[in-house]
Amino acid sequence: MLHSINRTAEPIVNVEHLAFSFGEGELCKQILFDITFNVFPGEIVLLTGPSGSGKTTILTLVGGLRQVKAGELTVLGTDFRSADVADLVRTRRQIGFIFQAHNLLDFLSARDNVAMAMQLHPEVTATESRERVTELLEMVGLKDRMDYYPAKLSGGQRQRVAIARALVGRPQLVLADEPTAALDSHSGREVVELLQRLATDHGSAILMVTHDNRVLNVADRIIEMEDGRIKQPVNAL
Amino acid sequence: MRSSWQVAWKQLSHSKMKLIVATAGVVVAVLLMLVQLGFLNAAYDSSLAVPKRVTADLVVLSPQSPTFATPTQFARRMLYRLPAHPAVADVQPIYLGTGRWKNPWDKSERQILVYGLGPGENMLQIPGYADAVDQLQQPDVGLFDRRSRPTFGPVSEALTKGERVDVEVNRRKITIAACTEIGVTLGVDGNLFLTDTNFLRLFPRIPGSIDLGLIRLKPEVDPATARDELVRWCGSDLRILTKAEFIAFEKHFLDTGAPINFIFGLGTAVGFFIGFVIVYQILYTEVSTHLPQFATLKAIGFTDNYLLRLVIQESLILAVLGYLPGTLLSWCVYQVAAHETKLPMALTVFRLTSVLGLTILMCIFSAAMAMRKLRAADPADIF
Ligand SMILES: Nc1ncnc2c1ncn2[C@@H]1O[C@H](COP(=O)(O)OP(=O)(O)O)[C@@H](O)[C@H]1O
Ligand SMILES: [Mg+2]
Repeated sequence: MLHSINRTAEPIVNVEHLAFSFGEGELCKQILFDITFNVFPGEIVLLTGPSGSGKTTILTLVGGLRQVKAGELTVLGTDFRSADVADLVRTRRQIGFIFQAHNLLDFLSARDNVAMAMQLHPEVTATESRERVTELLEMVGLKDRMDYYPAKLSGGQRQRVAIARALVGRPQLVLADEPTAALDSHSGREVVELLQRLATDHGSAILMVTHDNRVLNVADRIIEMEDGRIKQPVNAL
Repeated sequence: MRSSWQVAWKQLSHSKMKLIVATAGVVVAVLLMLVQLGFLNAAYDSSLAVPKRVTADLVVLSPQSPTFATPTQFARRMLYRLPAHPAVADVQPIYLGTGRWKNPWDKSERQILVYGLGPGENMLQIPGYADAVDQLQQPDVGLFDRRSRPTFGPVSEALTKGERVDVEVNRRKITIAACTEIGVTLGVDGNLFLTDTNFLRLFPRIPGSIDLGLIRLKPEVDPATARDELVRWCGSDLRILTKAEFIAFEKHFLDTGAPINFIFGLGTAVGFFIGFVIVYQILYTEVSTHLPQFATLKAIGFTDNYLLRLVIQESLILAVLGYLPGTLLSWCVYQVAAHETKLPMALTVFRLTSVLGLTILMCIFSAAMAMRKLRAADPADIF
């Protein structure tokens, strides 16, 4: 391993016997069955598996975007079963989200899109937040595209802006859903290496859904899903 | 990018076209509201101008008169009975009639409001009347209101040049001795002031009937007390009001008896509604085309309140952007309208602040409606 993972520390994500279903009553359809896994600080964990196997649903639960119904889920020390909306929002601010669709604001430049996320961290001074924005955009290779609007950037460049936005708040946990799906193999590879580097530099944990076989080698662990269950033993590596 | 105001401004200004359309909507709304309220006020101010010129302590009207301007006549002897009361010092009968004025320059005929002022102390303050009183005592001589509409002819200009101005009123030749300044209303295009004797030559009527009576009380008599005593004296044959009550009476007539409130109020409401619809349309489109992005913002930890604030801030920016040119345009319209209609059009601080308040209300209203769409932004759906 290139970087150190402290498996004796408190896990950043602790999932135990998590189950989830969409709908109510007759239409109730169970999607997740007895999911148990951990993510430790600094660890890169990949979620793979066929489409419809429940990977995205796991991410939305871990990201506090859906209400936990059965099982246990603790993220960054917050027990999501008993958390209220304010707790969830507070926890989400410490998570970096990278979505398949970049969803940048078209009326803000690359720099402003990233800077806007810093409004969630008022404890950081204006000067420092400006420096961080510049630093991250340089790191994702957009040094000379900082004042471009999303419409003037390529798909890969937009995804990198989204990554910068997810990481500018120095999250302890990054959740990424197929971040490379919309990219060609070269930029896909670059994006994943970038994420890996950031995990190393800042000690952030990464939970990433991917179908992309070419990026599997960056993982500390791979969790394979099938029909809403974890297929492979967790500690395979 | 430290504040949501900056984000709000960048969203609004990203498409210049949209910004212009939204601002134009607010400009139109401000313009309509200011102009309509301006006319409404002008209607009130002008209609109350003559009542406010009454210097008498008490005013006497027929109980059937809805307003002094469209009076029902009553017997002069009832007024002349009043000086018998110890509180009354003097009375003055006033006659009112609508005459046909023939413009001597283009021979066109116009209606003009003619006042006949009874003898004794003049308790209607008409500037220049006292100076011209010797001439006005002559047969068929009148005092013309130079703030009458221009259709009556360039009377004042001709007098200034030293020319003699003879006009025809009700087919009788009247010589204009001088001019005064009173002002017109929505219903009255011009004013002419005569002595009662000259008035009665123009308007044959039941002898001894008058339209309005003015009372001067003895010094140190309380008008309200005297009014009560005189009312007890006269019974229900006369309506006797203090000066303040008379103005309130005229104002009440404008509030209820004339449709001006409704007409100009409706105009104001239409302005408000136009602005509301345009701002709502723009904000609604902004919100609904950015739902996935807003959902993303929610997912990464922005609160619903933040997004609501963003939309409200956008609406407030539009309010301010539209208000300034809107007021400027309204000021121009006021100038033109004042010149054309001769009505008193003043852009008062009170009206400016009321319309600013209305504009802000209108924009916040639009924002509140547009924001309902925000609830559809579910952060769970964006993965
Ligand atoms: N909002 C939803 N309502 C109902 N069913 C859903 C919803 N979202 C996903 N599902 C279903 O849940 C299952 C798992 O979906 P998902 O977690 O997106 O899988 P994956 O990301 O692995 O492709 C699928 O069968 C999908 O149809
Ligand atoms: Mg998925």
